[in-house]
Amino acid sequence: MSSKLLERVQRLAALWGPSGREQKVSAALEELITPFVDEVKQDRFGNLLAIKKGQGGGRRVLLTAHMDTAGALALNVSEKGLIYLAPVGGFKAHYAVGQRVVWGSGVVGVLQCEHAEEAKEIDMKRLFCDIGATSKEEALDNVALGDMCTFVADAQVMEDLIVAPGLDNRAGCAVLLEVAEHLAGTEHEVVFAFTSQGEVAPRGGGVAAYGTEPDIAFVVDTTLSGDIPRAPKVATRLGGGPALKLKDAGYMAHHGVASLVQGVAEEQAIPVQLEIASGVSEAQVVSLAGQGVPTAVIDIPVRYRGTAGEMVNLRDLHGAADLLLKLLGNPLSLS
Amino acid sequence: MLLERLSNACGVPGREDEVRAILKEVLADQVDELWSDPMGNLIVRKGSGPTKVMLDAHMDEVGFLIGDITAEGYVILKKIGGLDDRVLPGRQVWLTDRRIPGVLGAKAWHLTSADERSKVIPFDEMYVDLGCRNRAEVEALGIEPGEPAYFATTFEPFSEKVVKGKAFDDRVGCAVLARVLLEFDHPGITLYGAFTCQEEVGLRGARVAAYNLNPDVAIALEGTGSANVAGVDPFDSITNMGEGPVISLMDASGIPNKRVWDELVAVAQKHEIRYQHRRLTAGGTDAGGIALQRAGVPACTVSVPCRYIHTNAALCNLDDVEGAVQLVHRFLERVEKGDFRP
Repeated sequence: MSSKLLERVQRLAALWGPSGREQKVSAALEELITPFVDEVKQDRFGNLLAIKKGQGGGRRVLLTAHMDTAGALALNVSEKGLIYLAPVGGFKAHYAVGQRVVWGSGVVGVLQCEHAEEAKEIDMKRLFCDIGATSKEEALDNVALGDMCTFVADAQVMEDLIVAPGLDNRAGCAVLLEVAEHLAGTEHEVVFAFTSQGEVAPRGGGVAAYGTEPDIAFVVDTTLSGDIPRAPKVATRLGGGPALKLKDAGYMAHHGVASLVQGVAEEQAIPVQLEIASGVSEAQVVSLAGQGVPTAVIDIPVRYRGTAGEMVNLRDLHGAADLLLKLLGNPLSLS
Repeated sequence: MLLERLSNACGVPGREDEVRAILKEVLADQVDELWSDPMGNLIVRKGSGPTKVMLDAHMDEVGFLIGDITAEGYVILKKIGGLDDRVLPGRQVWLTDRRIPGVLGAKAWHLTSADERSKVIPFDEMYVDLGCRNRAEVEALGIEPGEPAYFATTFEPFSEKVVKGKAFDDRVGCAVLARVLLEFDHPGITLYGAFTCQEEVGLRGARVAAYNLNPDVAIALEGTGSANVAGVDPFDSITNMGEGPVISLMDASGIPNKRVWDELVAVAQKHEIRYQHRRLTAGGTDAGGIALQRAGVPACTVSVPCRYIHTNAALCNLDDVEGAVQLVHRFLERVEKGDFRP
């Protein structure tokens, strides 16, 4: 396994790309993955699809990772030039107060909340972005209604831990790059899909799965890490290895694929955690696309998801990449 | 006026027959092809150029289904689509497509306590009074559970520019789409007009239509909420009736395709069509459902701002309708000339 993984996570996490505005991320990923694959294209929805042909006789395998991050959209501007926001994806007002953001135009702003006596008064209606404009006109010259912003913060590395905004799901994108680089001859045709609008609904994964007609799919995403005080009771922790999703609000693990993942992990001594989550994931739209796709979800546990300080453990990313590589070396025949 | 006929037509989700019949009659001789799909969407085609453009407007409206008939001869309704209990008591309604008149009854003012008068009557306590004395009399009128019910509202102009009617969401979109088809020719593209069903219950018809048509780009035409009215801070007005068609920013169903969105804004600016954005992200439109079909469809929503949407009496401004027609026409022109390639 290369040391490039850390470098890639850092590079990808620094890219601006909220839902529906993934163009810069897509361009960087295209450049990074091109040396490892046979064909790269974009579909009409904005998904980036990279295809590595198989040696024949195998199956068509789809690996997805959504490449967008959460952010906020400019919805309204006050007479004083303060920009009021709507959330894009899992953007929470109470995580946003005091954070710096960058808009698509490159303009930087700081997020603040109208005066509140108590923390519970903080909500999206009161949250605004100050870009230093002194009038509505000046603000709109720099940020148009409909523009989006995302948190900006440098990535910090603390031994195995990485802290940065946007690790959901640039961490997953980095895992896919790692797999692409190290994928030696396999009988399977592998489609790497970096999907658009995974933070909202999610959307792009289903379109990618419809368009590529895979026999089997692996969704690579992040999941809540249950090892923080008063977290929802989920059996995941940082550093415990990638998590195999058994169920969420829109998906039941395909028994055959889940067994295969568990079997390969056991055989190869790769630690895997099991996860039952409450939200919805890209697996919902991927597994139901076209004629239906047997789908497994390999998640990377993340602490403080949706904040400017998302934290992952590099070992979990290595584990996810390793597991996927071993799976791609398997015949992937489902009984 | 076509909008008048469309507004006066009745069609809850799944019962869009009257609206479909009007559109068929108006469009049949003016398009190259016209058909209904198995779900009930009415599709028309004009031109056969290389780029396939889908314009969508949904035919259905919010309304009611008859849920039950009581032994005393009252009719109990179920809502279809988002309806506000505050505006319902006392409204005249039409039961079934035969428009049998009734009124949403409520206890007389004289009999209510001060406490009751300050509260909204819960919908499950409302009933329709047809003047019948028992269930048999109601049934004798041919009224059965499952039949639709509508606001009994007739279209009328309020002023030279402002008109009142029911179901502007989305008959105003149907009117814009029909006018684009009737008033302009874009032979260089394949233009599909999709008048869809069941939008108000989950963008259903449009998904099926887009799957079948597999367009290169799509625009959903809508009537959307507008609150430049008394008692609302202009900052919170969402959209302003009378200030031009609305180009959506984002809603719960989708994020407009950025290139299509940019193009619509550029077209509006170039042709000096006054436009605005919708400063609210709640709600959904057919564009969200269309965008996800097959391997993806670049889509955006253009709306006409309507005050009092989803009530018995909405208002809209004919200048905004005209602006929407012009905006869509100019967009199609760009696609036709190859200046915008989706």
